[in-house]
Formats: sequence, C-alpha cells, structure tokens
Amino acid sequence: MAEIELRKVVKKYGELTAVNDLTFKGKENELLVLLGSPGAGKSSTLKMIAGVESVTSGEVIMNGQVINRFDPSERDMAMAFETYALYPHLSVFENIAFPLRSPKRARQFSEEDIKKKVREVTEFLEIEMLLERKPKELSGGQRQRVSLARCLIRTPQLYLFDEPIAHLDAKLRHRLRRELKKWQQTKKITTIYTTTDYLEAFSMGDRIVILNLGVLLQIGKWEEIYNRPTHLTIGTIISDPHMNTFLGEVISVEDQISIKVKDIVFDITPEIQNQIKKSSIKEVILGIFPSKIQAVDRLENKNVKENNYVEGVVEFIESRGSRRIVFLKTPYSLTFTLQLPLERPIRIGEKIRCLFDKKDIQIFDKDTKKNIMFL
Amino acid sequence: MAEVRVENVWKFYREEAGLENRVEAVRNASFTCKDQEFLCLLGPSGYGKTSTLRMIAGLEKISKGDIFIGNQRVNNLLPKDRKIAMSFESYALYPPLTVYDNIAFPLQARKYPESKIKEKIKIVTDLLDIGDILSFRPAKLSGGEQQRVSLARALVREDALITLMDEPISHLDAQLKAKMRIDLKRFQREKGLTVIYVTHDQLEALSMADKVVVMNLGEIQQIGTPDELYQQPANLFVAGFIGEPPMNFLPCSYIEEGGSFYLKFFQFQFEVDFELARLIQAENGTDQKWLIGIRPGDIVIGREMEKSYCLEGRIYSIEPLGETSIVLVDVENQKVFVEVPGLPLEKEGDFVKIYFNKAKSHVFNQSKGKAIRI
Repeated sequence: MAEIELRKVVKKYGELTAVNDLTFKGKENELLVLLGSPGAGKSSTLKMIAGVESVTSGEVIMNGQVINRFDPSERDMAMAFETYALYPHLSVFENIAFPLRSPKRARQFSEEDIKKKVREVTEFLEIEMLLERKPKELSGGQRQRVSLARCLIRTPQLYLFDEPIAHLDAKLRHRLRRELKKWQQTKKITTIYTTTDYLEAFSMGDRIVILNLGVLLQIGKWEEIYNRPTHLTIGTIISDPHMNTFLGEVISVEDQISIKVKDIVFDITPEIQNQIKKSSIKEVILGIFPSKIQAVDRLENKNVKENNYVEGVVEFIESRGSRRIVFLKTPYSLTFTLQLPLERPIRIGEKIRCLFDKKDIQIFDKDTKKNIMFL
Repeated sequence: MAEVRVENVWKFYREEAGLENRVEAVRNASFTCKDQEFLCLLGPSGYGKTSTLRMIAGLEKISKGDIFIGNQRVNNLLPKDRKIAMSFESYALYPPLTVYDNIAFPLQARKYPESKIKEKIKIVTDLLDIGDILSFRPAKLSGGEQQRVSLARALVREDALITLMDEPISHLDAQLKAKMRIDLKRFQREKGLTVIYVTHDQLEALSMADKVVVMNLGEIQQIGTPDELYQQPANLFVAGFIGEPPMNFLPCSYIEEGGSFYLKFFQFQFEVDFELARLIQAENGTDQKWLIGIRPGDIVIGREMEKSYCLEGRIYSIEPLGETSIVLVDVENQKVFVEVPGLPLEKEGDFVKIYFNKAKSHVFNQSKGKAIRI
C-alpha cells in the first residue's frame, strides 16, 4: 500500500556513524530485505523508519511526505523487534490483542473479532497453545513469535521486521520464511525485513539491500547481486562457504587481457577485459563462488597447462547432506573450496582438476575492493 | 587425547518417585568416541544430549552404566580429575574477570608461564575473532561474544584429554556460524583434539562431525558418519531430522495385484521389486501403513527418468536460494519439497508432473517407524 523512501539518511550515536548516507526506495507492496552482518546498520535503519530513533540527517519519506518529525503512533507501521518488547504483565493473548484495543481503534473490533484474529495469527505461528502464559514463561523463540503475531494482527501501511525468525529452530524458520512471504503477498503490505542470513534474503526478498558498516553496497534482485556483486565484501555475505578469492596481476598478450594468479592464467570475458583496459588497473582480486567451480573428470586430465584450469589436492571434506564442500590446496598454497554432489566419490589427498569458467569469474580492484564492472 | 567409551549409560531424575514415575533422561546409551575423533550428539532440545555430556564431564552422576576415558573408568572421578575441557551454552564465565583472565584462568591454575599463556590465548582468540575484546568484562559482551569466550577457554587447554562442547556456536549470527564451523573443525584436526560436541542443528553435525550419534527422547536413534545418516537413515526420526529441506514422506498402502506388488499413494501406484515386497510381506504388509521417503534433491520436475515414479500436482511456492531453488508442489493436499538447480522454468500455480527415482526412495513401516532395506 505504501511507498517508503530514504534519502541521504545518516544516523550517528555520538562519534559512531551507524548509518551513512543511505538512500533507497521500498516500492508499493514490495518485500525489501536489508541484508548484512551485525553492526551493518540494519536495526538503526528500521528504527528510524519506525520513528523510535531520530534521524541525524537526511529524510524519511512515506508516500511522498517527509515523516522525520512524525510520532511513531502517527506513522501507521507495525514493527517486530529482535528484542521482542512485550508487556511483561500481560498474557500472550493480551499482548497480541493489544494493538486492536488501542484508543484509536477502540470499538472498531468486537471481542469476537479479536478472538478470531488472535486465533488465526497464533495458529499460523504455532503458538496457539501459549495464549494464557506471561512473556517470562516463554522461550526466546516463542517470545519472538508473539512479537511477530502482534504485528501481523494489524494491517498497517508498512511492516518492519527486525530479524523476526532468527531465534527459531531450523524447521520452523524455513516454513515461516515461505509462509510469511505468502502472508505479505496476500495482504499486500509493503515490508522492510532485516536478516543476517542470505538464504532468507534470497528466498523472501523481492529486492535486497546489502548493508555493510552503515553503507549501502548494492541494491537489486537476488540474481543481479549473485551474478554481479558490486563489492568484494558481498562475496562473504551471500555465500557459504565464502566466495573464493585470489590475488592476481593483469597481463596482456596480443591485445588479450588475462589474469595471472601464481603460475595459472585465467581468461576473462571481453566486457571485463574492456573495463580493465579503461581503468588501467594492474593488481586485481579474482573471485568465484564455490558453487560455480566445476570439477572435471579425471578422463579429461591432460598434462599440458591450460588456462582457467586449476589442480588441487583435497585437504578437507565437509558434508552438507546432499552435497559436499571440498577444501583444496594447490602447489603454490592457494586454497579454495568447491561443491560436489554426494554421488561423486572423493577422498582426502585426492587430486582434482577444476575449471573456473570465465563467465563465472568476477574481478575486483585490489585497492577499493570494488567490482571492476562498477568502476 | 584419549578415546571415550560410554557403555549402557542411564540417567534418571526423580529416582525417589519410583520406577514408574522416574524421569529417564538417558536410556541405555552406548557409543565410542575414538582418539582424535570429532563426535556430535545431535537431537532436538531437551532429549538427553546435554545430560550425556554432563555425565562424561562428571557434572552429573551416572545412574547406571560406565564411562571410560582412555582405559580408565571415570564414574567415580571428580570433574577436575578427568582432564576435560568444556564449553557451555550458558557461558559460565567469571563476571569479575576480564575476557583475557577468563581464558587464562585454566592455564594459570596449571602454573603455565605468562609468556606461554599469552601465546596460547593469541592463537585461540584469533581463531574465534575475539582479539579486540580481551580487556572487557563479560557483562559488556553480547551473547555471541560470551559464547566465544567460553569456547576459547575450552580450546586453550591443549593438555585436556577430551574437549566437550555444548551448543558452542548456537548464539552466533549466520555468517559467523558458517565461518566458525569451518575454523573449529580445522583447529580440531590440526591439534588432534578428541571432541564431543552437542548440537540441535543438523547442518552443524553433518558439516563438522566424523561420527554422529542421533538422540531423541533419551534414546540413541542411530550412530554413523554424516553420509550414512543421510543416505541410509535407520528410522523415520533420523530420516526427518537430517537434511534440509526435509525428506518427503508419502503415506501408502501395500497391495498385490496379478503377481505384481505396489505401494499406493492416492491414485498413484508405485511398483516395488520382489525383494522389497518380500520384506514388506514379512511385516504383514497389507495390514500396515507404509511411507515412501524421498529426498527433495532426488526429485525432478517435468522430465521423466529411467525407473522413476511419477506424481502430479500444482506448484505452491518457489524459493530461490542462489544455486538451487526449493519448489513446493501440492500433491493431494500434501506438500512435496523439490530441490532444483538454479530456477525452475515453471511458475507458481502451474500443474506439473514430478518424477523420482525408484532406487533413491526409502520405505518405512509407519507404526514401527523403521526403515525397510534390502
């Protein structure tokens, strides 16, 4: 329903800048995810939108109107805090029903309506058996769901969810990331959602804002970010294990630009070559996600050195159920990880030949850590 | 470093309430953690894992059975005489001491020289990324930081025969957790530590453990390597607990028709081989309920494979996760998880045929919860 916009927003706590020059727009009915490590500025941003923290400078705009000076109660937003913020003296039922009983909405809902709505939302969140309890009798995960229920029971202009399912066990978390998204789509409520978990962000977000140390690194659909991360840091945020990185130097042979890492030469796409030519950068960081590296069958093993092929010895194997993460080491002590399906037999000490396809290689400037395509 | 053997161990609470009413937190548990092995006790919260760990540490009395460390029976040894290092989920830090002194404490107690202590603390605090909070007191730290300090205090003790860890990284954020899983495992390998590690997180257990002991309701469900548990779960509990998204279960009845044998799920009939049919018959096949279990990654959408079974349904949701997507297909009002590489061509609401390989499916006797395997 609502459109929310931040323009050059800054938040300072004394000397510390928590949010720096942040500009983005949450479109109507969109679920926008703020993704980043703790301390990235996600919660501060959400609190400024909600009005429970002041804005140091810049503008928060809802439906075209600057709302910096609006009281939280005038903003018509529902926020679920990571710290729950429940009323300790009220039962779970009364905590959840509270927004429906506020003076502004008094008499709008009959006791029957309230009961029905509380039932619907508590069954959805699997806490319908806890209605009589007080917050102190609940586990962290249960409190978190009560806090979430208190939001969902309303139909505000904007939902603000601060890591709303972080403290739940894996099975419930995975169900809720699917069902919360459905709920949000059905109710058509613009939502800003924070998380440290990139899978949650990919799975739920219409678009994703990547924050790091208070600064926006990238905004876009997950595919855009995954296919072309603007900054080296994003490689650690949206991949587990992290994006593999290697320090390399730019070499050119007969107008062809390649990257040399130790004794291995990597060909790169023409568009990246052009960009390197333009920038005249000499030292770069080559990045590739573990899931993009292809293990080549031994039958194709050749003794000649070929560009983009790396041979490594298996150091560690980590099981992930349907697949394995394999840690490799090359003769020059480069280390990297790749994924293999469970079906492929593997053992420690084995030599694997890997293809780094040029379409999957990202090149970052060594100094600024920016993706060369965004210079 | 030493081997740990747990033999027929029971833990009762409220024993005074009599045989009927006592609480059996651990029931007849037996397993061995070999020298330099990383063993995970995996299961839902509150079902015997922590009690088991605390009995090994000597913090709880063993109600029945024996525990050996090396070749020594330790039932009657005090915790301090067991040469164990332990990190707790509840941190158990000393509030008046700084982080540095908390970690140094076990070493100071053993009269290590200060230079040696410094060196060891540097190694573990670098590993755990807490080098910058050494001068703080516990009250100033976040839950995740306190947890890492507790872990550091356990890891700094290289003289310990075994290292016990109770949910040591449960309070860390997703990225740090992923990093810690790898770093901890590396550290354990390099130092040759013998580790018994309690967690409720199956991914932690699969990715770190050499051997996993799955526990539920105080009982050991299965012991195996991560691959064994994933590929050959012994029962419904293990099958459902290991793997994410979880294994799909299709409730079936067993029928015989014209010399062929079928498991039937609504209108879908899956022909089973003679060997499997014999095992099903041996358990009174037609009177029992059966479940076909199939992992989401072993199902494909819209492309028939050799020797495969087919289901039809409607796409309920599509969740992109980067290199794969999870597609939920509604089949006869039951949601079937399918894991596909990249993004599916189909859209939400589309009707699709899905196929899964006969050889990749598991069969369970529903009432016994047991896997039927040829």
